[in-house]
Formats: sequence, C-alpha cells, structure tokens
Amino acid sequence: MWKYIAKRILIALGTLFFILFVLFILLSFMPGSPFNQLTLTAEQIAVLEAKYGLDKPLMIRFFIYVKNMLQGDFGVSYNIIADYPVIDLIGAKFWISAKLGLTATVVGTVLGLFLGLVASIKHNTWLDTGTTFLSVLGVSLPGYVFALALSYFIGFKMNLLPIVYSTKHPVSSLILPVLSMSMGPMAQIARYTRTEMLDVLGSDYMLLARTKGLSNRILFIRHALKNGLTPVITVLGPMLVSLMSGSMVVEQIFSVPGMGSLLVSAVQTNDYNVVLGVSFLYSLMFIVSMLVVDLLYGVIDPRISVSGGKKE
Amino acid sequence: MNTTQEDIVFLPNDFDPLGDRQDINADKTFADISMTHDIIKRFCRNKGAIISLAVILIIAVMSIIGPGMNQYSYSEMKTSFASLPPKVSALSGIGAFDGTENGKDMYALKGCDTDFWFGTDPLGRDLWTRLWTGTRVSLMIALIAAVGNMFIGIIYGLVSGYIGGKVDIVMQRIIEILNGIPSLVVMTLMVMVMRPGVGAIVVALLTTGWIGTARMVRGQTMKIREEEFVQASQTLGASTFRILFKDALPNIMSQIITMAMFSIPGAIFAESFLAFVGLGIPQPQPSLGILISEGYKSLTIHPHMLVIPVLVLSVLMLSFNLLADGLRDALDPKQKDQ
Amino acid sequence: MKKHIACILSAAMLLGLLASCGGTKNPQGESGKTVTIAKSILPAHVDPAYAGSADCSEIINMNAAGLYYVDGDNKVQLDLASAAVESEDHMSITYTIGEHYFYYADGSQGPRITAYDFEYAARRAIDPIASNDNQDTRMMNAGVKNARAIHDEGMDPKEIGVHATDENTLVIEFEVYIPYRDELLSGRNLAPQNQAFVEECGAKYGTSADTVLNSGAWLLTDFAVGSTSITLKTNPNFKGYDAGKANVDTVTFVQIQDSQQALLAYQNGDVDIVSLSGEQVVTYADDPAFVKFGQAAVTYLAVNCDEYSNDNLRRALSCALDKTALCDEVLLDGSIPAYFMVPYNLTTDGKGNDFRDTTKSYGQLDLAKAQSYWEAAKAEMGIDSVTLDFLITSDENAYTVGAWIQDQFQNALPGININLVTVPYESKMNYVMAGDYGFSVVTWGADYADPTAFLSCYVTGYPINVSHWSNAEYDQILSDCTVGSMASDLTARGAALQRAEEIFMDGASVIPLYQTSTCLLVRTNISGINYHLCGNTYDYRSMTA
Repeated sequence: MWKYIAKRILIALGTLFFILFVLFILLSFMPGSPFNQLTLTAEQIAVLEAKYGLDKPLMIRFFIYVKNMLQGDFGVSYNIIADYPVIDLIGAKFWISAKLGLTATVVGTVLGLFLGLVASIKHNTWLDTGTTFLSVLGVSLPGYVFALALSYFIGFKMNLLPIVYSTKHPVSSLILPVLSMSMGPMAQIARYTRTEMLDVLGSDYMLLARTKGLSNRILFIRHALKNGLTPVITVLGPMLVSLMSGSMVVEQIFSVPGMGSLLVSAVQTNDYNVVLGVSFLYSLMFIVSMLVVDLLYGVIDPRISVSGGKKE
Repeated sequence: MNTTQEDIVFLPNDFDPLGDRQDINADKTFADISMTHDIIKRFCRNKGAIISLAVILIIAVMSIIGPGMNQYSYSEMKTSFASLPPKVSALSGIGAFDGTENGKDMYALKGCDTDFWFGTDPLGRDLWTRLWTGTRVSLMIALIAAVGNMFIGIIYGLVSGYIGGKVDIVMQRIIEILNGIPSLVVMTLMVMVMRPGVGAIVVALLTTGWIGTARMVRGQTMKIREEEFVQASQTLGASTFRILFKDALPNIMSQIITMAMFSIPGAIFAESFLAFVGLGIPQPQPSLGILISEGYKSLTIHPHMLVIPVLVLSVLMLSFNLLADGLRDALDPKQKDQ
Repeated sequence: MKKHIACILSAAMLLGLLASCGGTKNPQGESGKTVTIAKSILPAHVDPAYAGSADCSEIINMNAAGLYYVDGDNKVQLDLASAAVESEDHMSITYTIGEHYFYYADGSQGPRITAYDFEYAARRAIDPIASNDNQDTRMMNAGVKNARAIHDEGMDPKEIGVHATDENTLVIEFEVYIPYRDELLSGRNLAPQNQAFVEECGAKYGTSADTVLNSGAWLLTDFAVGSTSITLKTNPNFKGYDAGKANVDTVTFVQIQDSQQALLAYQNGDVDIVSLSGEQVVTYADDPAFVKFGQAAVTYLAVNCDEYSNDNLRRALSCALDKTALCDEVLLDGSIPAYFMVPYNLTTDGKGNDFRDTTKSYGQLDLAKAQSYWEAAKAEMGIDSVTLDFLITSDENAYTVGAWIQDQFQNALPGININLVTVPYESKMNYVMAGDYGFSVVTWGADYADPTAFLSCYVTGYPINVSHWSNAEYDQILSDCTVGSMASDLTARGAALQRAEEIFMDGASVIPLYQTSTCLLVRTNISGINYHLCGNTYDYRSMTA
C-alpha cells in the first residue's frame, strides 16, 4: 500500500516537472514580452528583462525556475502587480475561487444526490422524467447561460440578490455565482446517482435481501445507498478541482476576482511566472485529487485492490 | 416469454396422444433482422432522441439556407438602422416581433421600412443572417474538432493499447502530462500563439480533446486483445494492422461514435468560451460565441441580441446531448442507463 | 408522503436562505456621507512610482499629494510646499517644505514629510528598475536636469536634478525652460515617499492599506490584493491646497468589470457614480444625473509604415472614413470626429486662441480624393489590390469600430481588402510593439496641456511612434520646441507646432478617428468633482454630497 502511494507520488512529481517544461516552451512562443507599455524604449525593455532574468536562454531559465521552486520561491509577477510574489498573489485570489468552487460542489452534490435518488426511487414516474429533464438541461447548458439568466432575472428584474461580487457582502453576493456554477455538477451527479441506484436496486442481491424480509428502510440505506453511491466519489474529485480552478466566464459576469480571471489576464499579458504558478497549482490539485479518489475507492470498495493496479 | 406458475392451466386434452399433428414441433421463425435495422428500431423508440435529431437537422438546414432567406449579408452595415428590435410584419399583433422596444416603434423612429426578422446589431447588421451564418461556423468548428479528435484518439488509443509495454507506458505518461495542464491554459495559449481564427480554434480544440477517446479506445483494445477471436486471427497469421482495424476497431466503433457525439456540445461551448475571453474568430464573421459575447454587451438595453443566440446555442447543445444519449442506447444496449 | 414533505421543506429552506441573504444587501452601518464609485478595473498597487497607468493614478491622486496640485480651474497650485522661489534665469526652483506636513496611516500620524522624501521619489520615478514599466517621462518633458540622459542613455538615476539641501529645502534644477513645467511636476509619481518605509515594505510596498503612507487628502483604509473594493476616508489633518473642502467622509471604489452590470448596480442603488459606454449614453442623455466632459485624448489608426510604406496608400485611407457617422451612429458616446492630432480645448496657439481654432483640419471625408490617391498608389506600387492586416482588440469600442472601419474601407476603395485580427486588449501591445501588425487602433491621452504632448510622440525613434514614420523637418521642429531655441518663445512655438502638425498629417502615418468624451451618471446630490482634460481625469479633493 505505502509502496504504491510512494510510486504514485513519484510519478506525479515527474508529470509535474514535464508539465512545467511544456508550459515553458509554449510560453516562449507567445508574441511580445511582458513589458508592453507604449512608452518603453528597446533599452528600457532590455533593462527590465535583465532585472527579471528573462535575457537568459530558455533552458537555463527553466532550471533556475525549478531550482527556486523547490525552495518554495515561485518568482514575482511582472505586470499584474509588478514585483509582487506570485505565491502571495495566488494566495490572495485562490481562497475566493476555492470558496466558490467548494460551495458549488457541495450544493451541486447535495441537490444532485437528492434529485438522483428521487428519480431512482420514483422510477418511471413524472418525478423521474422531470429530474431527468432537469439533469439533461444542467449537463447540456454552459454555466454562463445560467449565470446570465440568474443575474438578469433574480438580480436585475426582481432585485433580490446582488449581481456583483463584493467583499463586503461575502454571503449574499456569492449566491448567484454559486447557483450558476452548481448546475453542471448537480446534473452530472443526479444522472450518475440515478443510473447507479437503478443498477443496484435491480440487482440480484437486492432481490435476495428483499426476499429475506428486510424492511424497505434498512434495505435502502444499508444496501442500496452504500453500493449505489460509491461510484459517485470518482466523479467528485476532478469535479471539485475543475470548479475550484474558477470559471472564467461566471467570474467575469459576477465580477468575482478569482483564479479564472487571474489566469486569463496572466496569459494575455505574458506574466509568465503567474501562468506557471497557477498552472502548477491546478496540476498539483488535479493529480492529488486523482490519487485521493483512487485510495478512497480502495477503502470504500474492498473488492478493488489499490496496490494491484486498477485497470480502466 | 417468462411463464410463471399461474399461467399454466391444465386442460382436459393435455394428456391426449398427439396423433398426426406434426406442426406442434415447428419453431416459430423470427424475421431476419439486420443489426442496423435493430439499431434503428431501438433508436426510433427513443422519442427524445428523435426530436433532438429533428431539431439538429432543422438548425443545420437553417444554417445553410437561413443566410440566403433575406436580402442582407452578414457583414453588410447600415449604421442608421442600428440596434433595431426584431420585426416580422406577418406576425404583428402577437406582442412580439412587432419592432417595438419599451413601447416605442423603433422602425418608425429610425425611418426603416423593411423588416429585420431578428433585429439588427449595433452596427446595423441583420441578426437573422448573422445568427444562421454563426450557427454554421460554430457547427463546422465543432464537427471538424469532433472528427479530428476521434481520429487522433482512435490511432493513439489503438497503438497504445495494442502494442502495450514500454510504448504504452510512455504514451500514457504523455497523456497524463497533457491532461495535467489546465485546458483553459492550453486553449488560450494555443490561440494566442497562432492568432485568433477558425484554424487556431480548431487546433486548440484538437490539442487536448482527443484524450478521452484515446483512453477509452486503449482500455477497450486491451480488453479485446485478450479475446479469443483476436487470438484466432493472430494464429491465422493476420497482420497487426489488420487485427487493429478489422477486428478491434469495429468492436468499439459504437462507443467511439457515442463519445464523438458527446464531444460536439463540448466543442460548441469551448468556442463560445474563447469568444467570451476575446479569442473568438475575427470580425466580421459571426459564430454563436461571438454573437453571445456581442449581445452580452447590450443585455440591459437590447436583450434580444443576447437571448436569440443563447437560445439557439442551448437548444443545439441540449439536442446533441439527447441525441448522443439515444445513440448510445441504440448502439450499445448493454451500456444503457436504464 | 414523507418524501414529499421533505421536498417541500428543503425547497422552503432554500428559499428562506435566499430571502434572508437578500435582506442583508444594504447594511447601513457606516456613519457619515459615503460615495460609491464603480470602476471596471481597480489598481492592484498604489506605489506612486507606477502612477503612470490611469487606474492607479486615480487612487494615488487621492491618497498622495505632491509639490503641485491642479485645481478645478486647471490652475497649478502649490500643494505640499509652502513656498517656491524661481531663480532669475529660470533654471532652478527652490521649494520650502514646511514642518507641518506629515504622513498618515489610518488613524495615526506617521513620520514628517521632508525634502529628502521628494528627492527619493524623483529617483524612484526615473529609475527604470524601481518604476518597472512606468518610467517617468514628465520630468524629462519638464526639462529637469539629467532626466533625458537617465531616460535615453541609462545614466544613474541618482544624477536627477532634484536635490534636498536639508529637511526643509528642495532644489530642482532644469536644463531648459519649459513654460508649462509646473503642471508636469504635479504628477503623482513625484509624491513624497519615505525611504525607510519603502525599503521596509520591499515588494509589498503600496499593495495594501498597511504598506502605504498617505500624504494626500484621503486615507486608504481598506485596500488589499484580491479585494473588489477600495475604501478611502477623508484625512482631517491634511494641510495641502483646498484641504477640508470635501464633506464626504468615505469614498468606496467597487470593481464591476462589465459596463452592463455596472449600470444595473447604479439602477439598484448600489453605486453612485458609473461611467456609460456606447448606447447607454443615448439612453441616459436626458437623465439629470448625466455628466459629459471631453478628454484630451485622441483615438487614431496607427499605420505601420514599414509594412505600408507608400504615402498615397495611407493618404487614400485617411480620407475614406466618414468620421461623423462613426461618432454619431456607431460610437454614440458623445465623442467628436477628429480631423487633427492635437485635440480641442487642450492648449492655445501662443496668441490666446484655441490651438485648433487657428489650425487647419485634415482628413475630411472625400471619396473622390481617396480614389485618386488609391489610383496613384496602385500605379506606384504596381498592384491592383492589397490586403491590409487590421489588428483590433476584443473590448467593446475597438471591436465595433474595427468592423465598421473594415466595411468603410472596403466599400470606399475597391481593391482594398481588410483582414481583421482580433486579440485581447491586454495582449494587443505585444503585437504592436513587435511591429507585427498592419494598422491598429491606438488611443493616446495627453499628460499635460501642450501640443507636444501629442506631437513629440512621433519623432523618429520615439517608442510611441509605433508607425515608424520619420520626417527630418518634423524632428527638427519638435526638437526646437522642446529642448531648443523655441522652447520658451510661446508665439513662435505655436506657429511652428501648427506647421509640424501639418507635416505629420500629410504623412498619414496615423489616421485620427475621434476625440474621446467621457459620460457618467453621477447622483445629483454629488458635486465638486473636478474632471480634468488631461493628466489625472478625476479629482475628488473638493467633492461634496
């Protein structure tokens, strides 16, 4: 078990190293430099590039970056906040995206589980049709359609909730962004839950349990729920990471100063260190979440031996 | 076909000798139904999928003939007729499409005596023509990306899964690295490096879009590799190429098609996302994403500029999802989500 | 049945949650008068050395003060200096910095503002490393000794001609007498900075309320990286010009990226001041809260003369645009068609008239002339048609204007095809500065009220001259008017600069489109905001509500 985890972590570290390398190469193809004020002369740009070590060859820059990174130094931002440490910049933006993503995941999961369970229990009734329709809608439509609709109707026409995120009203101004971001996960979880639950409810061991005379409640909670919900965990990890990494468009609509907008403006202004830092964080979260899901899966479902290597 | 005990009723003549009644042993013969026929039958039973297919066909046809249905072109500007609301004279009286905005007849105010069915944009371009041209562009981008991703994914997955060993390990690591970079970063970087345009967007969509297909094909290939029919053809001396494309591929084609179908709405969304970030296709060409991000800028004053393209995008994405659902159920009843 | 009850209950709870949160929308906890201003972007730092960018300078202008302050009548007044004595040859000014000026952090008094702080500020502003990509050009244009050498030739920033002789005395030396230099020196990048404090804060200087020393009429109280709002309170101890004129206690800037959402927030009552764009202007033009003012900023097409070196081709383009239609039917935001490079109301011709009133206008719509230029260009270049790359950004105005210009050129000049390249606003300059563009939309705003604020941008080799246009006579006039014989002779200078503009417009390396106007909705109870034509646009020092 530990050997397996150690191996996975080693592979993950290697992957991260290559991800950084690929990004370095991609960024070097970007047009222009981070310094693009119209008033700058070529000499001034050269001075600034020397200041940040950008005058060195690509490979040397890459190894300097990796060396500094291993010491916990992710460099400074060039122009989003000049000279500000990337780690602090990400720290300032990350918690808001994390809060938003986490809440959206929780809300989406709870609602999704609820809808999925209702649909599976009331299989082939109007409730089932209704929830299925809702979940197809949620899976099909991009989050910004909900964001636009919510901000126009609830925020503007009905004037119920603020349409602009503000640090002064951290709860009320997050409701609309959270709702629009949780539609996707809700639908996905609802579909998944419904399928798995129907599978379980129709299985032979449920029939056996039923014939043994177990009460509906015990049958449902002890046997069906546990087996039916286990696979849902597999979708939760990646979903959480993708939601925490911030939805650029939803952030833009509600003016949320989160990671999505940070990343996009970093890419657009050639703020290399910020792009690298943010991407590194995402990749790390993604890889860690996959690892955790795999391990959790082994704990919950003993039939799957983790160290034996699970085939997809 | 199931017979439970209640169904069996003993009749007085049950124990009589059969005599010369020869027909009693004859099997009931089923009509010879081909697989395709079977699939079509199963598909037709799914009402949602049929409606979706119809909707997609209608939208596709409109995207071809729609731009030619009136006298305007998608780039022709009449700035004096800018930002007109939708008007269809034949429909006047139903409360919409009457050319009024906040109770004022904008057509009369701007002195315009022709109809713009979906109104005009802030530059006085006809939104009906732009909408259908844009739908066509979005559909093309999505289709090209879906087909391209399918091809790359199939080849990558087949090679990786069939050859296995070291090759497989290396190829899987490459996938992991590509998958580890946030797709937002990859897409924006690719488009920025190549300059925004239809080609750049397609390439950006192709950069990581094939990974899902490749993974699935690899998994299935590994499974099939162990199956008897493949081993049989190996022993008969079939080449690797033949085994891959004649034996393995047809067995997983249905899943690949389903997957490609599911990727179309994803590609439509990605295009609209790029347009929102400012990396859409260049003016004056429209796409659904471009129309939405343009319309978004006039949301409070002229909601029609946003609502119509959002509706088309939503209906399109919804239909593709339902159609893909239906296809999956029809092609592969084992996978059916009951 | 139970399930149904659970459904209803949870739905009710969700609604309750929504409703209860809706109720907390406008807490009225803060006392005193508060003004909330919507901005599409908030600065991430208020380090005066970076004051060059517009979003920074608005805040820095509030929380910091300098030697000079430009008042509501555009007159330059002494601010944090009690006296200024000019030498007889105009080549130096000696300032007395009073002992009663102090820095303030929120609520507490900080160190004294001394002459050394001004010296330190000047060195930071001109130091390309400390100021990052906002190296000062104002001191250079004001003729401060060695500023040009530091800027152009990389001389040590310590050599700048701004020196403190003791805590109370600051001397600025000049190389050349520039009549409007006081205005240039009012820039907030010269606001005093305490060296010990700056060095203690390091990279975090100016990024939060704790890492700022306020020298101005307002105190930064709520400011942090990643926040969506910035709050400032009046500084009751401020001793500069017009101190205590404002009766507003708190000013809050909130970030609302999108103009639609900002307008919704204004209608909801969440913000008091919001800027309008495009069609919003038409809709609100009759509103009592509507405010419109012109800016000394010109938006123009910069044509890359390396790509399109044929003069007649560029001339053909310059008179093929109907700029009136552009302003009245496309932009709709009150901008004025520009047939010039030096805008209206900026400056005089040296004899007391508006520079524009005694100068010709250029590039009027004339399709016949455009056609003949195009014919001439075709003959000279030996071509029938040409495809021009037009780089535009995806932000609201440029995007629409770009499509419109494409349509105009293609219709007016058959054979000219325009290939539009759209890139995000932030990355456009990357392409422009790399010379990787055909032509592009550029907006340039004046730092100071003089024609050279525009014209000196296009001398050969100057970085803003992205067209790479070059003309020897033009270079000579500009050199004479900024550092040479005519720098202080206002009458001769006015005429020379009018001639320079004519040469420049004839070269058609840029095609002016419009002079920008800004339209706002300002709640009718708010008054006393000064809108400046150039430099820092908004000044809230005497705002009342």
